[in-house]
Amino acid sequence: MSNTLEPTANAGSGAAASATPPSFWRELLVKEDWWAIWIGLGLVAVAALLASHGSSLKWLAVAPTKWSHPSEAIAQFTAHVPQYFALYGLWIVLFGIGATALGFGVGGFLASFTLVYVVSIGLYFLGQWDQAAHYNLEPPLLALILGLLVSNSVGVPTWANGGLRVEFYIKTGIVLLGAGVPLALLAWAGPVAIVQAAIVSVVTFGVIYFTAVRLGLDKRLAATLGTGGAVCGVSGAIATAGAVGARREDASIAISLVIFWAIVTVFLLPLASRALGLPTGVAGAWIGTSEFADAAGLAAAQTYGGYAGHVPGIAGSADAAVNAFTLMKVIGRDVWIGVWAFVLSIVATTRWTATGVQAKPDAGEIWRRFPKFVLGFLVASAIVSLLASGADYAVYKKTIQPSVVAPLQALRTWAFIFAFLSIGLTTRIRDFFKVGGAPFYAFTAGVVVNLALGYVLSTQVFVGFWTALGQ
Amino acid sequence: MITTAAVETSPRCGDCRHFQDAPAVLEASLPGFRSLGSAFGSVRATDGLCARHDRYLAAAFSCADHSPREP
Repeated sequence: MSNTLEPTANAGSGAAASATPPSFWRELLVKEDWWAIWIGLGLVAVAALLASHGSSLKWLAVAPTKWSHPSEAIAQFTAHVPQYFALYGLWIVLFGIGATALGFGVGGFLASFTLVYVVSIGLYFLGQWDQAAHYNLEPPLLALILGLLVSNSVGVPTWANGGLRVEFYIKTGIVLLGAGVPLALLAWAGPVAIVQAAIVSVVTFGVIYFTAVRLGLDKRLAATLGTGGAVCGVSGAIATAGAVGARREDASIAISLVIFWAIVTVFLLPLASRALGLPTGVAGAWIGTSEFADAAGLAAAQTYGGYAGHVPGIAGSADAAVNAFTLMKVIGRDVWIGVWAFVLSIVATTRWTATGVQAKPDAGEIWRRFPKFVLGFLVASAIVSLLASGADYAVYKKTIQPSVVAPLQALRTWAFIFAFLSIGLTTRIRDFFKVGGAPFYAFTAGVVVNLALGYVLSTQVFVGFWTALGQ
Repeated sequence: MITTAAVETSPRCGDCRHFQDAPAVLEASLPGFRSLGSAFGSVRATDGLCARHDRYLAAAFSCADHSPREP
């Protein structure tokens, strides 16, 4: 068992000792995105195969159902103990293989994931209490708060890193989410998401970048902050920092600011949407437009989706919030990371002051930086759409939905809860206080514009699309 | 600004001993990286940290201080 910072000797396998780009085939084994695809699509394929033989993953994909008294919850759990153990075994094997391939020690992963799973069961059950929405006890937010409390009080040991992989869990969950989003829906709402995201991304980047430059910050820091706020949070910031050759400190500042505002908005956006009585699809679109990170945004969107049917005045289905969020954030914003990084590397090389290190802009970066898990999301959508293509709506609701889509939805929810808990457990609040005034003001200017513009576009300009999504 | 010819002939930072791109080291060096991001993801591509210039950059960068990695 590894209990050091380095997961194992080669820390991330082939990418460790030599920076020679891994071959395409090797990358399939050493990048988290591809492992999310293998796990997610593997489950989708098994679900589809079982369904075609009249069986289902239902037994394995156990999930708590609504309860009103603790005795009901206990009875429910004890009746399904073997299933919870089986599900634990499934996740341990799947995520364990992935974590080991990424270079993490087996022992550390087993110990930390077991803890994550046990706590997640408790959080999932708590979220199914029929009074949970009344007391704002939504599992995503509870998981986040609990994790934050632990990591910022007693702390989390480094050996636990292998089981606290926010992005691994969230990417796997997003691939599984694809099974519940028909291709027809992607084709219908995708272009709207791309247009809305493009408007917000360009405006937000411009506000942050020009405010930062105006405040005297280096252009590489300004660009790193800009893509962090406008495109894809930490991933966007880090991609740009690498493409333009930013200082290490620039990357750190951008990461801290993204996390700070992502945590603030994960609470703020569901609260504001609830106060405004927004339909779930519209709120999901706003969250997808204005949140900074996939994991934090999904926490907010899932929280809001949980209000559907439980909080008076909130129209739309529970899934609509998550679906709208995913369309906006993943399809509308995430997939453009490579393009932003490539364009900014050209600008940095040709127009900005030299730094002693020289870039070599290469269009191949667009593909290399492409968030590959999005491909898994699209393939999952295609598989289930294909499966449903010969069935009318009644057959779909009677057979495909309960035997294929519903179990995959339950598994997705588990993966998301693991991620939400891991966010809190890996976030150190003290890191937020090292960023300096000017970067904070520049980024915050972008946050304000992003929130306002995201609200207007989601609730006014494209409101028809996002409302219809929830029906 | 640099010329394309100079870059084409310069050795890559990825082959320099000052360059560190082990994902776990990157996550430890950049606090918060693994909280809402990941050094193990595709988006990072081949980026790493240059200990010589204290910069976060792609492996395809180059500089005058290049020092080949020990075989």
